[in-house]
Amino acid sequence: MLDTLTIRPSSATSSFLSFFQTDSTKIDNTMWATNSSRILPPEREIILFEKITEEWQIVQPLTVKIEYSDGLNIASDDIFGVYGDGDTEYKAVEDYKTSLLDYYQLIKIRAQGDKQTQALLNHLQMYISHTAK
Amino acid sequence: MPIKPKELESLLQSKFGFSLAKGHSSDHRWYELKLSELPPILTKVSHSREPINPKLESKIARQLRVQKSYYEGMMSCKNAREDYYRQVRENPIPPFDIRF
Repeated sequence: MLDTLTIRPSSATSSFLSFFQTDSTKIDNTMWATNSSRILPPEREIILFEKITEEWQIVQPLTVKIEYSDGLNIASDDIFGVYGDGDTEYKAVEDYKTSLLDYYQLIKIRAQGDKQTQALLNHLQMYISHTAK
Repeated sequence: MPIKPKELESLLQSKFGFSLAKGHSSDHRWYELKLSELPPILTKVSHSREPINPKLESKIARQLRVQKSYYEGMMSCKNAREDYYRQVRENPIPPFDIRF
């Protein structure tokens, strides 16, 4: 089953662990922003391994780092350097997925006849693929 | 000091030779630079009218293959186009040849 997301705290203390969900990308961190004590959500990593649109899916687990800064949630990876942002964590991850697909499309067009870019495309295709018809 | 997305787009195009990248399906604004013998350098600029968040600047710097401090020099006109091209060719951060 591809619709799986695992969230792994990278630097959280055990008191934070109850906040982490393990079965959904639909996470909203409103609680962080509205909490009068202003506890910042810890930086952490999630694993994306799922369908990202009707036509595209992530076919190999892809680690995405989630950060929070000045009211903005940022999702990014360290492999392709793609990022997404939003006022909630969910929106940041969705924006990340859109950006990853953008990146794939841009690289694919530019790969023809370019050895360096083709190598990058080959690497991208290890992670992102058309969904099975 | 963080700059606004429009200023970044303007600098990327006028000073560093980037152009608006076409061929993706979303309404994100991507800019590209192609230097010979290197994969394209692609960076995404947000729609916001606010100054770019410092953490986002770090992500953009990474897409430009430079450290944050170098990126800040680019935005403050300390680092010129040829300096940037040389930097990306000689010491890209992260390097292009990440092996998988």
